[in-house]
Amino acid sequence: MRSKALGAAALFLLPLLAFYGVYYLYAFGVLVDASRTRTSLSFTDATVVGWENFRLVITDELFLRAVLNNLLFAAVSIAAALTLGFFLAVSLASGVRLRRFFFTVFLLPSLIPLSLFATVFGRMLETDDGAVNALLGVVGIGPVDWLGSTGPSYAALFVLLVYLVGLPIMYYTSDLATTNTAVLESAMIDGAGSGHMYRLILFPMLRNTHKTVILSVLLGSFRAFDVVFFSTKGEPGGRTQITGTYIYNTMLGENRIGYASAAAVIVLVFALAISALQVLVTRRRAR
Amino acid sequence: MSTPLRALRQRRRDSVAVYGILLAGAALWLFPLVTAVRASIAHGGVANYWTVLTSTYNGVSLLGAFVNSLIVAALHAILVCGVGALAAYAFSKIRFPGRETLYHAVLIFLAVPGVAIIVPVYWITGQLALFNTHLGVALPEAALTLPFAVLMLRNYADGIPDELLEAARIDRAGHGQAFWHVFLPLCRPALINLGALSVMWSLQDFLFPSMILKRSDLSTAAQAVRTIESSFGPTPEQTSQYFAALVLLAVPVIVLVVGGLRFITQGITSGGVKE
Amino acid sequence: MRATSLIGALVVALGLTAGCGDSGGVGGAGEKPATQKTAAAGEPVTLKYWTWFPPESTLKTTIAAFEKSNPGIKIELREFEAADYQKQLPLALSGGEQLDIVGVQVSAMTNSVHEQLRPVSEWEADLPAGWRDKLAASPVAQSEKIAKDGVLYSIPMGSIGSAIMLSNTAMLGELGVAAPKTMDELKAAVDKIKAAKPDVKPVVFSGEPYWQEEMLFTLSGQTAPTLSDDLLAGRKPWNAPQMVQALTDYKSLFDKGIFDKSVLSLKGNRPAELFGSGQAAFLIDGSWQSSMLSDIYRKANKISIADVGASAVPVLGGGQPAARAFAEGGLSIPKASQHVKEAAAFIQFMTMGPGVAEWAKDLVLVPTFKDFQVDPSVLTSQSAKDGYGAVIQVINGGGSARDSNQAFLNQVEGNAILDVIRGETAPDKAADHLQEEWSSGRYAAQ
Repeated sequence: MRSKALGAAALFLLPLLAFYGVYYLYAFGVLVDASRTRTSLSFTDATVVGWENFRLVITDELFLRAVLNNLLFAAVSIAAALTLGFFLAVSLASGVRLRRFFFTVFLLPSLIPLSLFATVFGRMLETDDGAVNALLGVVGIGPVDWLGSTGPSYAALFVLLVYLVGLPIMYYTSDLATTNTAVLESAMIDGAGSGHMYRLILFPMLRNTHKTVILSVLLGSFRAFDVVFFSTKGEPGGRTQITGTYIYNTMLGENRIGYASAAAVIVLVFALAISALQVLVTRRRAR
Repeated sequence: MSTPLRALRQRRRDSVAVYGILLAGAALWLFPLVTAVRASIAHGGVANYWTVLTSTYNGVSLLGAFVNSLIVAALHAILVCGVGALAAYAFSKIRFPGRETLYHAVLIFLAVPGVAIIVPVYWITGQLALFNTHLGVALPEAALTLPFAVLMLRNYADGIPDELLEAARIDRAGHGQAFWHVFLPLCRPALINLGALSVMWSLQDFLFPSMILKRSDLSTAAQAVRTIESSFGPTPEQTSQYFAALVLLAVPVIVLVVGGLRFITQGITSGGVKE
Repeated sequence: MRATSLIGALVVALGLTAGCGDSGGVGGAGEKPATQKTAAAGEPVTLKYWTWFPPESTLKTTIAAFEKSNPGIKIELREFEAADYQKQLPLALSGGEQLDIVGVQVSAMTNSVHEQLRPVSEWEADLPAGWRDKLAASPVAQSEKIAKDGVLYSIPMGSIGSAIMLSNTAMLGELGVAAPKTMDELKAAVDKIKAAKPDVKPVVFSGEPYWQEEMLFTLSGQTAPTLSDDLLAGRKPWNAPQMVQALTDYKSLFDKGIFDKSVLSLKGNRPAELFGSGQAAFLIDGSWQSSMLSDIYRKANKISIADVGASAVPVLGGGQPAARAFAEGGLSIPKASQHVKEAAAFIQFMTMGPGVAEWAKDLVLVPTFKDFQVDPSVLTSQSAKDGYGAVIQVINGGGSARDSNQAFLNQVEGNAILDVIRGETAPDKAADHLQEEWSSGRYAAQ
């Protein structure tokens, strides 16, 4: 009986396991092999260099910076989600007019290809003719050299990340629809102010949604690549790079594929470890 | 529509504040789009759109790019839904030893970044002779989407009562029959959501098309943002036309996404990493 | 029912894509020379031509002229952005993409693609006898020497140099400013422009990291002509005194207000666009922008400036005008090509045939072809004629080669120079950092 179930399950899981086998397991093997060589993408001229590439990646301050940026950007996205995303979703759910319109507008940047959105955004950051400085000029700020110094270019990226708050809005919207919020009515009768209701009643009520949002944003942040690649390109001085752009950029140049692979292996180990940790924690709590 | 949340806007002051923030937010969120549209007609006017639509840039025609994007997106969606549904059935409806461990092992790959596997994907695509094919792009994209698909479809499938499937199996039908005649039709709403999401994610993908599709007539829309850039000369008019091209590249995506917004929202939220 | 149609769609879709894929040459498929196809009589041969240069509009007229005189051959052109091309061409060639003619960035790309290219000696039988005599010796020799194995893989269309400076002569005339020859004169001109035309940017150039190297070595070349060559060959460390001096000098131009830091936010085509639309008085760029000197080119591309001049970048502190120059626009035949004869005919047309007159009209390169004369209709004003002369002179001036270690330049060097300009790092610290990274083993391909 047990083996019969195993057979049936194996049959149903075969396509999935085939995908995993090729694009994850076999791929990781190829990656680890490549990471110990100097080679180009044709893989015909590989010379084995042992763990040298790993040493070089780990000692590159730009790489460490990229890892830290990944975490920093994830933190910013999460902060934006828990504040702005939460507030917008609640506002949209409070029976406002033009709800569908607002909803679509706030979601659009998260839904269209980032290559498009970030390209336009990148052009808006020009110092003298960029739309952002033009707008700030109206209120008497500027002009800011957005990609010229570290502070402003982080700020520019943070703004871009805030624009991508659509995903958390979706989560909150969906959970608000199924949450019983009748308690608000009695709170109102008791004379509670709206700030009080947001902070002390609604926010704790959506505790589980916050967790979902944090996890999704965190996991998604490892996949980010286009955000930086198409906007700041890591400027100034490569200080706003993230691991995705670091790997991509190191592929340029002669025989650098081994080096890029070593960076990829390290990033993968890191991402999988966080992911595994999250799964473990979830499982333990479920028991 | 009446909701208790209305209480938040009971006072006039609060209501004005909420509307004020929403309107200001919407204006800010539309700002990039407005900027792009303005830049696109700054020199040469609306005619730029026609010029861009009827020309080819570095061998890429915008219409061709849309078609390529759609083919890749459709393949991706079919692969993800098909493989995902089979796996979700196994994880949800067949009791086999090691099920939960395997399931969680599958989920760990939720965090794999596409850029980290481009080197092996390049190698694998070469081994499978899939360069310059739509399928060559859809396969690695599907590999990256599958962990999410399994998570979301299993969440959904766990809500389908086992009795429904047992009934089918008692009529001496095997798992195959139960899957085909009962499970799949019941999963339809979830599959539609997943399909819409898969289409959207594929439309957003820049990385794999730019590695795998080297023939200009195969270029996808997201990839075209880069490939057409160099064919616009350094003149104000050509720059406007580049922006016109960017706006046009976004239009079909916006239409598709707005049309399928309901499915996308339901899909994303039902695949949340729930505790 | 639904599922059946799904499966049906899948089968159709797979059918659409299957059977036309390729291995991308992964594992070395693109290594062996392809066997030659002879075209059936009356059937045109289509040659696939990939390049990044010169601009599509220039190439299209040249290709049209070639196709007219060679009715049996069609050229299918694909153009890339320069940096993207450095990634895409090696991938495509090692991927076994069947290309017939490829443009090779002589200094930046020869060694990353030469394994997939046919040496010129393999196809010189298809060129006219004594073809070398038709070409200037130095660009051909440069193309030969740059390859690690010293073999000639491509025939260079011409030479380029950078940086040079283009000026909006019409605007300068209006303000009574003479073409500046020294940085002090440029400073005076900038001040005048700022006062008279606050909306105009006096000097523009690209703020992209890679371009900062061009600026730096152009300046250092005025007093230390071999610095760039010495650094790349490892004869001098990157923290040598001349390098620190070069960084200090380049930064000083910003501090003196000759250059403005806001131009560093200009990317891609933007500097040329600002200059072309009269919103900038001087453009510092490569000699490939000499097109702007041509009245015909300006009209065709709707560039509204009445008169354009060119010169070497003004001299700082008593040096000689300089620029780094090199052979550029190498044309090559990949091993995968099945139409070598036809491809050679096209390369002959482009490098020593009537094609030269077609593309060289736009002045993007100084042609290798000895018999070339600029058509009198191209350079209509005195300042354009003088400007073109000045560009040729500085290219032939014997400075360092226009060469780079691409990975080092894009990851480290460009950013380090930018940090110096912006005052984030002191010149000597930046130079030490450059030397440290150069010798780290991450970038150097020596």
